[in-house]
Amino acid sequence: MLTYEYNTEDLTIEEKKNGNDHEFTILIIKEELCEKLLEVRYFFENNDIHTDVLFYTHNKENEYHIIVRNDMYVSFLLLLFQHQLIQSLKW
Amino acid sequence: METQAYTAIAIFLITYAFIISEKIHRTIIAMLGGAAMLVFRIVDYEGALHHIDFNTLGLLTGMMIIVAITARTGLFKYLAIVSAQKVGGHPLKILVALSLITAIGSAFLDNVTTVLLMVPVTFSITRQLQVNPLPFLISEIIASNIGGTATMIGDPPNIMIGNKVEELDFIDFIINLAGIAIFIMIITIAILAFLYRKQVKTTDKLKKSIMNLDAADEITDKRLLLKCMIVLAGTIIGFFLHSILDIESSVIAITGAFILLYLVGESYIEDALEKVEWTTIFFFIGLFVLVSGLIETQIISLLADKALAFTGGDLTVTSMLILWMSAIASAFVDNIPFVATMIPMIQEMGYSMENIEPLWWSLALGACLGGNGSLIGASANVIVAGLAAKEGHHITFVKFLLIGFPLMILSIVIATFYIYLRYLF
Repeated sequence: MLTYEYNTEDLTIEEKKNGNDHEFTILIIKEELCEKLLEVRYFFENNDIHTDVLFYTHNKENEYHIIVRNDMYVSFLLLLFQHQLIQSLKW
Repeated sequence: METQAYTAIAIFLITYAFIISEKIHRTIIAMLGGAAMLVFRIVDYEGALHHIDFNTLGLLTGMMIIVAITARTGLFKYLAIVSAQKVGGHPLKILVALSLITAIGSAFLDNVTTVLLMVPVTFSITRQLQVNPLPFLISEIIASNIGGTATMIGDPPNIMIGNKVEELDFIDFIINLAGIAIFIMIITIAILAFLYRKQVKTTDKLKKSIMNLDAADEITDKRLLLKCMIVLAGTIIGFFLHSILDIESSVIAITGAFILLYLVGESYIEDALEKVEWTTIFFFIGLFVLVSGLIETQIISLLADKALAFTGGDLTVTSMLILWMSAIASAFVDNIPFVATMIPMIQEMGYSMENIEPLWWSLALGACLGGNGSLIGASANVIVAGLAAKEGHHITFVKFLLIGFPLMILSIVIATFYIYLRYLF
């Protein structure tokens, strides 16, 4: 079981399991973190796999819906951690 | 026939056999075949250069550069999401919308590039709707081949015909092929929608999630998009006017590409030139030299005479033969070498027949639409199948054949009536 912590003053993360996917809804509160999440998005959008992590921007300001394939779950969280969107990550 | 002619036939057949077998990359084989024509003195260096159609190569290269830069703007993703929202997030209507975008994109851009831009957004939308992406991907393949038929720049066979036949320009292709391509597209998409109506269903909640997407967020760089749109529009207007201005279409494409590179800055040049499909460009060069060996040794004129003797010089019979032969051949072998061989043959027929224009449209319709006949019929088909397999969705040869081949036959039946009623009746 992989657990993570984040600063609730910066963002909120909702996560649920849907079949073979993990679905995240991330609401960025601290505006400057949007750029960091965009970097995560560009990483997955520019790699060779099209369905590993899919980003959807909703009309609601700074809210992102992200569908993460089961086998990419750890990679996705690691990248969030690398970009300091989450503060800790542990098994 | 002289020894040279027999040698040319042997080189041509061996090269063709290797291209069909797909054991070695087609570009390597075509270039080696072309080189063999030079080494065995079938054609001399000057003759080989003369037969390389730099207009076709320039047009392809220019458009590839423009598309490589435009692809970075997120335009296709934006269009796909907006169209999905316009149809209320309904999956079957989205299938139709994405197919239409693919068809329109393929008419003005390279088919492979268009599907490469459409596949990621298709996966994205179908995952959001939790529907099987295969009906969408198969429909897009078929739409890209039909869309590519509509214009001179849509598909390599048309690019080659348009550049080799001086009497035909960009507007001629629109006038003669766009209408029939649109008609075939409407019929085909209606059949695909009917076939897939039960496979692409989702819940109202998921439809609503599509409606909540922010399409504008997909545009990565608005200034870049504006520059690309201006240059793309200018280039397409240039194609419409190229015969009036007496400027070759390749000059327009290359000029457009380098104006865009000037506008966007030199940081884009390396990436844009890297994205040019040099394997395709060299494949064309090899084929032009290969076919030149058959032209220089009079084999093409001999074949044209034989074909005319077979059809009795009858324009209707010859048109139908070219249309159906091109379609069946293009369904299973690469249509580029086929068209490269057919063009000089039809030109040769022009010396004995009065009006060979229907033969050009038969070749264009047969070679482009034939690509839908099987999974290996066109490069776009192979590319989409490869991308889908990598994501765990397999478009098998038989699965595609069962849908693509009957639709291809239907489109050729429609094309048969069109050719007959418009040009031969």
